[in-house]
Amino acid sequence: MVVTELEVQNELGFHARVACKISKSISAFGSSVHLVKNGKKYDLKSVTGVMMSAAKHGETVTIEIEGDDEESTAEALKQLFADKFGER
Amino acid sequence: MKGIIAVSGKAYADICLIRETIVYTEPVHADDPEAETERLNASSGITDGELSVLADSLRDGGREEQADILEFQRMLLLDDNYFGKILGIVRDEQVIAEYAVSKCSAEYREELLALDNEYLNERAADIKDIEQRLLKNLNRNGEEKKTASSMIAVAVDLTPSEVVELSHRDLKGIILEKGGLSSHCVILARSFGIPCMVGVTGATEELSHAGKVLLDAVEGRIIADPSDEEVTAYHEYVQQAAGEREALEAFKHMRTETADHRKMGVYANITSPEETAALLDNGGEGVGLLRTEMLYMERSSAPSVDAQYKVYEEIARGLEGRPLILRTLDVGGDKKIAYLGIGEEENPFLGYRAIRYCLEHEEIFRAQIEAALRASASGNVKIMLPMISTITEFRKAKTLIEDVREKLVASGVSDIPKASVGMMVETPAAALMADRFAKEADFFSIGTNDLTQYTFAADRNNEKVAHLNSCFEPALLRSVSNICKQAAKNGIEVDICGQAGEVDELIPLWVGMGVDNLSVSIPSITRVRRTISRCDYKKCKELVDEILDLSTQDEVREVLRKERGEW
Repeated sequence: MVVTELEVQNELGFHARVACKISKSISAFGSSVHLVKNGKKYDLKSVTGVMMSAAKHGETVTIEIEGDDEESTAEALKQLFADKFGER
Repeated sequence: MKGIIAVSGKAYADICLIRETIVYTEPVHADDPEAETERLNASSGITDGELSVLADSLRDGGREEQADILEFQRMLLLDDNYFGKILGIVRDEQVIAEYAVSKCSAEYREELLALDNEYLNERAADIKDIEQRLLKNLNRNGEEKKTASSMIAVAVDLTPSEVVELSHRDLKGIILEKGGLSSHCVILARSFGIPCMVGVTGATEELSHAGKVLLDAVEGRIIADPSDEEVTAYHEYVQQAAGEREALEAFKHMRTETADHRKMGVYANITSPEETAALLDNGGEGVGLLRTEMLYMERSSAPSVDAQYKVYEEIARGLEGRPLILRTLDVGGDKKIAYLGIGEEENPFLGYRAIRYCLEHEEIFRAQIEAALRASASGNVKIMLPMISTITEFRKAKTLIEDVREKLVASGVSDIPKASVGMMVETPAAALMADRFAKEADFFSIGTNDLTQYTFAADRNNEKVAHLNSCFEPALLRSVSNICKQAAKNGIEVDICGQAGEVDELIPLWVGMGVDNLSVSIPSITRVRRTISRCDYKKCKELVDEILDLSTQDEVREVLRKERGEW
C-alpha cells in the first residue's frame, strides 16, 4: 500500500467539477484509492466519495492506494493535485 | 377546453405530454427484479443523453458552472455509491425501481444536508434533480415523443428548470392544469415569448389521445385536433404576427431615441439568469428590475450569500456592462414566503412587506446586499429599495448598505466602489415627498402597479374595484409627472418599471414627462422602442400639459385617441 499526503491547491477545493475529474482520471487504474479523514474512508473513484470528503483549499489530505499499479496511480494523483485539477 | 391566458399568442403543434412523476416512499414489491433493473438501465441511458445535451447547450451559452453540475449528475449514474446502490436495492429488497431511486436519493440527500458545508448542502438539490429525471424517464412509455419537430407541452405543472430545458427544444406553447399567473414558470414563458395558458382543468387527460393541438392564447381556447378551417385561420394569424415581428426586427439593435433625438432607454424586467440571453436577443439595454423574490421561493430557508452572488454575478456578467437594477427582497403583499415568518395579516398589501421587513431582519438584508455588492465587480449593478414610504427608511437602508460595503472592503474583498442606491416610487407618501427623496436617492423607478393601487386605495386583485385601478386616471398621471419633475430638478434618472410603461397609448406621456428609461417585458422591447421613436419630445410635453388639466380617465383616453399620431 502507498500512503501519500497531498495538498489541495485549487481555489474552490473539491467541488463538482473536481469530483468528476478525479474519479474519471483514476478509474482506469486497478488500485483502490481512498482519502482518509477524521477516521473515515472516502472512495476517490466515486464522485460521491470525492464530494463527501469535502476537502478545502489549502487542506493536506492523506490518500491510501492499494493494488498492483499503486505506484503509477499515486504518480497520476500527484500530477493531478499539482495541476490544481486544471483550475486556478 | 378553456383556461386562463398567461402569455398571449397562438401555437399549433404536436402534443408533448409531460406526466407527473410518482414518488414511492414505501417499498413496493417487484415480481420481476430483473425487469426493474432493465427499466433502470434504460432510464439511466435516456437521462444521461438528456443531461449531455443540456450541458452542451449551457456550455455554449457560457454557463460553465451549471454545465459542470450536470456533468456531476451524469457521473452519479456511473457511481457505485449512487446508481450502483439503486440497483443493489432493487436486487436485494425485490422492490420496484421507483422506490429504489427515491430511497437511495433521500438517504444521500440527508447525508449531504447533515454536513457542515454549504456547498455540499446545496448539492442536495442536484440529487433531487437527478431523482426526478430518473423517475420521469422510468415512466416514459413512448407517449412523450422525443421528436425534433415543434411541440406544445401539456402538463399538470412545470418546474422552472423543465421550462428552460423544453425551451432548448422547439417549444411552441405551454398548457398547464395548475400554475398561477405570477409563477416562475409563467414568467419564464413570457420572457421566452412562448404562448401559455394555465388553469386548464383536465388538460393532461383530455389531450392524452390527441395528436396535435391548437393553443389559442388570444381567445383563450384550446382545440384538440382542429378542423382544416381552424388551422387555416391559425395560419393567417401566424402570417400577420410574423409580419408584425418583421417590422419590429429593425428596432432590435437600434438606439432608443425620440423622433427629435432625445435619448431614452428600453430595459426589461427579469427574474433569473435564464432570461438574460432573451433580453439581449431582443435588444434590451439593461435590466430595469431584477425581481429577486424568486431566489427566496421554492426553498426552506433563505439563500446564502454565495448562492445569491452566483445568480447576480451571472446576470451582471451576461449584460456586458449594461445596467442591472437589482431590487432588494420584495416579500409580503401577495408574495408569501413561509420561512420568513411574516404570518397572516389582515391587509398584507398595507402590512409587513419589502423594506419594512428587511430593515427589521438585518441578517437577511445584509446577506443580499453583500451578494449584490460583490457582484458589482462583474458589471454595472445598482441597488433599488422597494416600498419606501419615509425618508427615515431610505436613510436607514442606505446606511446599512454602506456598512456592508465597508465591512467587505475591510475584510479584504477587493475594492468595491460605493453602490448606486435608488428606490421604487410606489407609495403615495414617496410620490408626495419626491422632491426630498430626489436629493437622497441616486435614481427613481416608478412602480406604477403599486402606485396606482395605493393612490386609489383599490386592491389590484379585486375585480370589483378594477375600474379604479387605471393608469389613465389624472391623479396617477399627476403623481408620475411630479415624480419625474423632481427627478429632473435634482439631476437623477427616473424609470418606469410597472406595466404602464409598455402601454402604447401612454408612452407619449412618459416621453413628455421626461422619463429616462422604460423597463418592460422582454417581448415588448422592440415595440416600445418603435413607439418612442415615433414620439416628438416637444410635442409630447405639450400633450402632457393638456392631459394634466383634464378631470377624468375618459377625457384622458379621448384626448390620447384624438391626438394619436400627432406626437
